[in-house]
Amino acid sequence: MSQPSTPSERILVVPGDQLPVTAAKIDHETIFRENEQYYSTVVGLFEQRQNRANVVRLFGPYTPKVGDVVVGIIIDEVLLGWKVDINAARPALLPFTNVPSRSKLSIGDVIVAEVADYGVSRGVVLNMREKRARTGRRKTRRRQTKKTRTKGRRLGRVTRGFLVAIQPSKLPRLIGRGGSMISAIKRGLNRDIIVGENGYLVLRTESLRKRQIFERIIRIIEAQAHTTGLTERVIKLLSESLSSFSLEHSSGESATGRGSGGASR
Amino acid sequence: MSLTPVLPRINKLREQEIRTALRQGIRIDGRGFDEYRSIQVTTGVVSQAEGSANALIGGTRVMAGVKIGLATPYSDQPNMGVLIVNAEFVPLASPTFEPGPPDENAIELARVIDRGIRSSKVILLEEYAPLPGKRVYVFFIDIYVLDHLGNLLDTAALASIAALYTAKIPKVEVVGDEVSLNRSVTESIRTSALPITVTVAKVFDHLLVDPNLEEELLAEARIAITTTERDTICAVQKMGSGAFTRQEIEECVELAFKCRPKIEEALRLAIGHA
Amino acid sequence: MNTVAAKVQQGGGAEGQAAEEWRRPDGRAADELRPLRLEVGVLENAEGSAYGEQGRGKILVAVYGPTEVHPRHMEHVDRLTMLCRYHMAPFSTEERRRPQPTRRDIELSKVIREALEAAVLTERFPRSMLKIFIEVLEAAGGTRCLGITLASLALANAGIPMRDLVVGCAAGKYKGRIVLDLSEEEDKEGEADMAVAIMPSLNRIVLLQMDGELTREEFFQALDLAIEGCRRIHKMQVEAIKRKLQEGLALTPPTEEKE
Repeated sequence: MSQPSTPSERILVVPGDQLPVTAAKIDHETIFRENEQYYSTVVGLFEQRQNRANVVRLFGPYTPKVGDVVVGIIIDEVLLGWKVDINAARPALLPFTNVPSRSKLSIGDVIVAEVADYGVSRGVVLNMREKRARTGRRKTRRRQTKKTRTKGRRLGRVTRGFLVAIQPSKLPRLIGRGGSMISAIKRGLNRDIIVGENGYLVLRTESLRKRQIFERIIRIIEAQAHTTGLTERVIKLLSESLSSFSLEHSSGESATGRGSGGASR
Repeated sequence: MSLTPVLPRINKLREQEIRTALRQGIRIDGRGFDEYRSIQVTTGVVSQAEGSANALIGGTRVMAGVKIGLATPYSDQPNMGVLIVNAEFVPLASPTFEPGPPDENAIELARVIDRGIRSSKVILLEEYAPLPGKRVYVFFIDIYVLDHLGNLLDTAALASIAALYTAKIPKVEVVGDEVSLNRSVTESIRTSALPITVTVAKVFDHLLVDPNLEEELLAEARIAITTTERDTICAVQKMGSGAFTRQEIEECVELAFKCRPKIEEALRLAIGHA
Repeated sequence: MNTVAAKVQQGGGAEGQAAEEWRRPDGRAADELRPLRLEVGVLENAEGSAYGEQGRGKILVAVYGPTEVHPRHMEHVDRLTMLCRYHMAPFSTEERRRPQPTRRDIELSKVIREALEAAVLTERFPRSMLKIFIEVLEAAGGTRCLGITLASLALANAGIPMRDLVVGCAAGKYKGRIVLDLSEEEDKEGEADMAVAIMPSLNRIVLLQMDGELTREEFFQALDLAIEGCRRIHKMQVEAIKRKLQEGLALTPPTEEKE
């Protein structure tokens, strides 16, 4: 009570830091309570708004939520369905019943699916059917319309493009405010990008060079996620690399291996 | 490499029962928080070993054997006899023990006992180097767990100390550069301490000495404190995936000294140093 | 011969002078830490990593996971399985070490795992496994403590939720005095050695190992000194995390740019 609630203030915290929680709703993934005190469990930015306290992670893995649209890789076939790597702690299950009958899947396929169900102990169940999931919960559709990135996104198998991963905690920065950053990148590359909320991204292109530029941008966003003016810098970088692209391209430069993708974090 | 162990589960009713009893100041087997189960030590149980003992705390049974030979000393300690402590968690002692080389629990137990013996100088190793840098005594203490019903460490420590104290140490014969043991002439150990290990478990925020198996499974953490008759502490090991407060450590040390006399009495009775 | 002379001098000096003027072989005061450097996020492959130097000591830690559990029978249906490997490189000590894990490595892997498990919110990751690899590249006394300090940084770097950071520091008795953060030499020649790790905000002791001989009073003196050392190192841990976040430029603080 002594702590005035300043809803817009964000504080950098590390695990074990005491948090001045005044909000009624608490994110138990990132905030831990002991002896009437609240502590952060992660490195991140503590914020309280609309009576809700949480820590926006700056490091860390993807934590699934029902309704998330994710990009996954099929890694195994089990009794009831496909096992899918979704960049989370454990693989997800895509039950055969949640796969449209026309989709012929096999190990190694990249898919776009929706998190139909999630429990800490039972794990993630995916759905690939466009209309409501069989095993899912009722409210799965709600989040779909929330952001432009998933609007009109077709669930199903991805047959072409490049798969690139971004650190899940940096994903909001790739999207940008109101989708500004991702739309700028799409415009700049003149290609569509599938953004899985798990941090797997698919750039719809066959151009190796565009893939390299894209991956470089991703690494820059990861490294500079907490800085201002990032969108502007990325747009500038895009136009620069694309103009040099046409030059290099004409001089017959061929991309080697993972190339500039190695531009490290 | 160490992996989180998969341990037998205690059902919630039983857990509740133990928790409620502790809140009322009683342990599930009727003991007080600072009370040991009955302690019994017998020595000279294996005639082939230079020293041997059987220790029982409640139903937990551990045997220890001491074998003595000659060896080249460690290069960094040329003037000292060699002490090697090894522990075997024999599969017949518990459904949770697997055959094979000592696991991390057996290694930890042996090393904690080793440190207790070394730190307190139970055996004056510097007096067992007939040819420094070349030939010295080697003492093998082999700990054999025979029945595991909780608190292996204290039981194993008792058995080891009893076996060592009663060991018949063969005299050396030095002829020039040749050293040999004459097993027909023996003497007793040259010692300077009688360490006692007391383990305290933290169960639902209560501190319990000599935890039984169920208490061990429910314990957040345990701490083994080895003390000497000089009122000193010579080895400490916190075990288990939990935590203690500073205050709790103080209470544990207090308990270690408080429980010492009773265990020492049983030990002295067995080794004939009453 | 030289060292003997030095020791005599040290001993003579200590008797005649006030306690704060007494110096250790490396010139430190009794309650002084060796120079310490901590760095977060140093490896490309690992989900989280950290590197540290303490005196001559150098340790690298990596965290992988959470992933599925292998081997399968080590799976916990209600919590995380943690794998911890403390290992010393063959070239880390004066004499070459055999690369196979020693009994010491096995014990330390266990106590370090247990210390870290006290902090990690293990119930958040059932049927999952987290791997922590601690590689001592150069040994110089107090490696288990630095290993723990770095492992908790690597865990934070991997985004694994924890109740608190974990930080380790040693204390001991050397030439009759209780001293902080023993060097290798002090460890070898000293009368007692105590390794401590704490959760600094929650004020809990998660690792405590001691050998040598101490009176009750000395024991608690050493414990309190080690805890004090942990608190100082904790501040450096937090700084190391903040440095990592600032890396790659950005002196500008995070703002309300997102949504």
